[in-house]
Amino acid sequence: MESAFAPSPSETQAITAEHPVFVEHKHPNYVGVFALLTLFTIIEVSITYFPSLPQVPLLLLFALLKGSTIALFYMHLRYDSRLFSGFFLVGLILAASMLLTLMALFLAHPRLPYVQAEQPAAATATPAAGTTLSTSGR
Amino acid sequence: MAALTADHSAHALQEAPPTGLESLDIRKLGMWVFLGSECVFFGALITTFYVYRPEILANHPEPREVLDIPFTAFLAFILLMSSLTMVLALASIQLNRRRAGAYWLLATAFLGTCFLAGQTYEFTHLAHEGVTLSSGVFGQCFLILTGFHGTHVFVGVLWLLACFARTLRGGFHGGNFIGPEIAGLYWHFVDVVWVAIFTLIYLI
Repeated sequence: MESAFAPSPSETQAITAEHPVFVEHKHPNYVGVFALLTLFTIIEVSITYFPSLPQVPLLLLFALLKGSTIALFYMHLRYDSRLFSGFFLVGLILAASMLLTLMALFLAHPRLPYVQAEQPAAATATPAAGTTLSTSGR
Repeated sequence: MAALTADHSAHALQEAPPTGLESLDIRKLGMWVFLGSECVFFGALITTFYVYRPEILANHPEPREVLDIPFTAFLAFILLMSSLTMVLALASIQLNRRRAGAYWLLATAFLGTCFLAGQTYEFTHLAHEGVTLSSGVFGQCFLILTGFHGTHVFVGVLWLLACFARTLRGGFHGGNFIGPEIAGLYWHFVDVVWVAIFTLIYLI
């Protein structure tokens, strides 16, 4: 997909005279990519208004689509060296592995229900008439 | 560098570019390694939220009910728009349209600032609702995660303003655009993180 960034003939001459241009790859249709990302976002938010739909798989799918679209076209991973993709994917895989592993570790087995800790009793209780507080423990 | 040939086209190349690992800019490679580490960093924060999710749901309404989803979706749209302006800035600078590139960079910084303003409003609103760093597990997990993301956006805005100033002075152009390119990688990554946070924390 070509983008509308081609300079005019006079600009091209200026390019030649002033600084040589090194273009690594063609520019995709960035506005088209933005429209696609906006559409994905709208669909994502709309999904939450229909509880009958499988929320988690659909939301994860669209998040993955948006993230990969940004990485491929805006971060130019589609056109750049595979080494860059490798370093990024290693980080992503490590993060995902950490999330899944710790969730399995902490959430797989049923735990006792969480109970808010009771507030400790007042430090000095008022003694009843004729009695004294014992601190000996007997 | 070899001069352009007489056939001046927008995509004219200089001499055949080098191939293999020697063609990789070490600064760009370094940024990708850093972004890989940032994936692990934000992954740890998101993991913490999900590990504490049972406690959060036991003592707190579901996050989706407390957080303003339409407003946050608008913030996500602003960040997506800033990614568009960022990539347009880089493309303009690569084609030696320095002034256009500089003003696209300024637009990106402006949109980032709008996002930060929206986050500030959201944090203030949540504080009024009783969600603070000391209010409980939800407040701590949510505010630390989104606070760190906001800090990254703030740093990105400062970086973009520096790129804007340097581009206007002629420091970045078609022969030297590594600065805005690396800044762009950082900015797009911040956007990707928000895509993950918006889905995993706000919507699910």
